[in-house]
Amino acid sequence: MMLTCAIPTGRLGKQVLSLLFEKGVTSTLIEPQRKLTYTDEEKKITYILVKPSDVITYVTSGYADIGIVGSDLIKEESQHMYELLDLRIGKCKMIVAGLESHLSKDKEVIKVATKFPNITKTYFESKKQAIEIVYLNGSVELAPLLKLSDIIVDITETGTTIKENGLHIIDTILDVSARLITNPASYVLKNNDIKAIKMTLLEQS
Amino acid sequence: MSEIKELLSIQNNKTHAISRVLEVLRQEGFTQIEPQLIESYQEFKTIEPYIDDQKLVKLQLPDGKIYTLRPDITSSILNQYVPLLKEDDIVKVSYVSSYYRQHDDALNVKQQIGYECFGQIGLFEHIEMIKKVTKLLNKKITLVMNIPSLIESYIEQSSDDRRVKHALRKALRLKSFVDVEKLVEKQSLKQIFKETIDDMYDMQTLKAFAKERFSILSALQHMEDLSYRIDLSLIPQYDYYSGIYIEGYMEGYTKPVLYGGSYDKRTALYGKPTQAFGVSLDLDMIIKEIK
Repeated sequence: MMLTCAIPTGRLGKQVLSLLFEKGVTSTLIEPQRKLTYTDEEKKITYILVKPSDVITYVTSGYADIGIVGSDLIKEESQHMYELLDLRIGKCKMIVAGLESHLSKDKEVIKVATKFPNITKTYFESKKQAIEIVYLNGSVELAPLLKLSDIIVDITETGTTIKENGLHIIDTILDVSARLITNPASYVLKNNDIKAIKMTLLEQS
Repeated sequence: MSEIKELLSIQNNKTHAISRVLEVLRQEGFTQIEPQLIESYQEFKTIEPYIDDQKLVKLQLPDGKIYTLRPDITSSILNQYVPLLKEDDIVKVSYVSSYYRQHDDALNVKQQIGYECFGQIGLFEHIEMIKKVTKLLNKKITLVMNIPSLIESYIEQSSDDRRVKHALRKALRLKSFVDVEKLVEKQSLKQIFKETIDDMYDMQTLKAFAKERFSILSALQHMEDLSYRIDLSLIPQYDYYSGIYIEGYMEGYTKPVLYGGSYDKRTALYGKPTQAFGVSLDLDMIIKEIK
């Protein structure tokens, strides 16, 4: 039975494709170029390379049976999908950070710049802190420097970019890594094939 | 084809598909009914608190009374018929109807086709009914089943902390192996949850779980011509399924095209505890896949 797997483009995608080849899920190492679909006839899987934030859409809409996506996006989207495995790659952290000058201020409403409004709202609700979300798609670290926000919620791998922009990490919201996901229907209808891939990835991890 | 002719053709197909299903049900003794359209908001909230209040479509009349526009088809049927049931009654009703919810200030109208049975009817007969209806379809349906109370009893014993139980229930429902693993290790929960999420459809294991429920096991023996599997981590969205819970999946549809099960304890909320079993089918699927 043919499976379709959505792989994110970019750095995480390259890590994923290497992992899939190392584990024997793919028969050859796919090196993404301009082409966005690859079919592995031997292993009966078609790979589609999509924007990381679109992996979940392809899986939940059924165009892909499985996908690999960061757990930050899974928590942010809250769509109905099954999270089968932590691949333990693409590790980073979702953090709260700000300029030192902001840290000591007690404000009734804090402006938070982020690409993850849902995770941010949930976190600050748990802290009983009122916030105003400033939604940004990239270079979130700039926001406190330009006084667009008081603090940020963002992803960091090493913390270097945060430090280089004069920000300090206030808290870690969650640990992030790449996960194997599927939709409920594919999980039922293609269970043997999906489980086989999961078990292969689980070996020696 | 002109636009209006196309619309009428679609309506024609819909009517034909619905009538095929209703005819099969009629031949099996089901009476087609129209569930009541509005209910007292206060009564509904008291009996059925599981629907988010924000999602109910409320109507206020000049006298100040508040009603809700049919928020759930089964509850409307329960409200209408359960109080009238006598002890040995067997009542079988079918419906094509809509329920209404509010979502982001917009009115959501969802059409549904299905049936409900009240009274002493064996599980075998319910399974046969599902087989008869699904035989009308072009594509094969795969049923996934569970007895939610089995895994619920393990969840209840897992911890005194309500948040841990809630987190475990959510992790099982979303098949989040990662979260289940974390909870098992961090909260020292039983290994059984890690094993459960792996879809235990080994008959020996199921027998160990379901030792009091032999009727369910014997009913399953009559399902050789149905594609099915048992998933002990299948937890329905609502917790009123007291016996078997079933979801049906079909190629081309990412969500269940059929769901239902045994919900005896829900009838007690309407004054007369009785055996109850209901099935809902995705109407769009029926229209598309009817032979």
